[in-house]
Amino acid sequence: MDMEERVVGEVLVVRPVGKRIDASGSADFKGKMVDRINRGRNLIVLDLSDVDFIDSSGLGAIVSMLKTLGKKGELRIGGLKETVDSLFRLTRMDRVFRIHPSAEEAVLALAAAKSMAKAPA
Amino acid sequence: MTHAKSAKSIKLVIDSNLEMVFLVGLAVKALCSHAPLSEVAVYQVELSVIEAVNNAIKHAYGNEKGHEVEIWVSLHVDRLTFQIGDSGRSMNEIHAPAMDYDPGDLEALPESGMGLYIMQSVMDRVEYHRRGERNVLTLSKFFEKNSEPPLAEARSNP
Repeated sequence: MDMEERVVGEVLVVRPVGKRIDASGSADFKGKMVDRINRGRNLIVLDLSDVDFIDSSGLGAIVSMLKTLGKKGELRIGGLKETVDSLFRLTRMDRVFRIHPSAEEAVLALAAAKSMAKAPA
Repeated sequence: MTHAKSAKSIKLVIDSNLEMVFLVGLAVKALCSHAPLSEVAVYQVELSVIEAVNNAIKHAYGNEKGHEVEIWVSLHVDRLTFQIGDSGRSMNEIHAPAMDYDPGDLEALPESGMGLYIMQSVMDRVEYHRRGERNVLTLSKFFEKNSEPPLAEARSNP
C-alpha cells in the first residue's frame, strides 16, 4: 500500500495513492499507520481523495487506526468520494469519524481544535 | 449452477488469493455500467460481490491459495445476479449481526465481520445453498421499476 505523507504544523497528512484499500492491502496499511502513531504522530488527516474503493477490511483498518490513537490523538478524514462515503454511511461509521469535504479543510479544522484546546480558559 | 436462459451471463474465475480479488471488482464494475444503476449503487454492488469473494477466500478456503472461486454474473431484464461459488468449508448461517454498536464506545467499534451486513443491506436478495460439493452464495439486485432496461437487453430487442 503506497502512500504519500506530509506534515502540516503538528498534523500528519497521509494520502494513499493506490485506488483501492481492500483486503489485499489493508493489513499493510494498518501496520504503517500504527507505526506512525507509535512514533508519536497523534494528529492525523487521512486524505482519501485518490481512493475509489474501500471494502470492509479497509474500513476495519481505518477503525483500527482510530482505536490505536485512542484518546491521546485525533483522526480526521478528508476528500471522500460519494461512492466511498456510502460505505461509511452503510456501516454507520459516518457517526464515528469526523469527515471533511477535503484534506485541507480537515487539516484546518484539526489545527483549530488543537489550538482551542491549548488556549487558556 | 442454474442460469435463466433469457439472461446474459459471464463466468469469472480467480484463484483463492486476495491479491486477485480486485480483478473481479474491475469486471463487476464494468458489467454494472451496462445496468440502470447509479454510480453509488454500482459501487455498493461491486462492494457486495467483493465482500462475498473475500469471505469465500478467508473463510471457505482459510486463506489458502490454489483453489477456484467462481463468479457467475447474469444480466436480466429486471435485475443483476451474482453467484459466488467455492468448494471449501460451508458457512453455518448467513444472518448478519446488526450494526448497532455505540459510536462513542471506541473499543466496541467493529473492525471485521461487516461483509455479510453490507451484502444484506445493499442487495435485494441474499441466498446461500450447498449444491453437491459446492457452496453457492447468490446476490440479486433489482432495478428500479421505472428505469431503462439494461443496454445489452435493449440491443438484442430493438
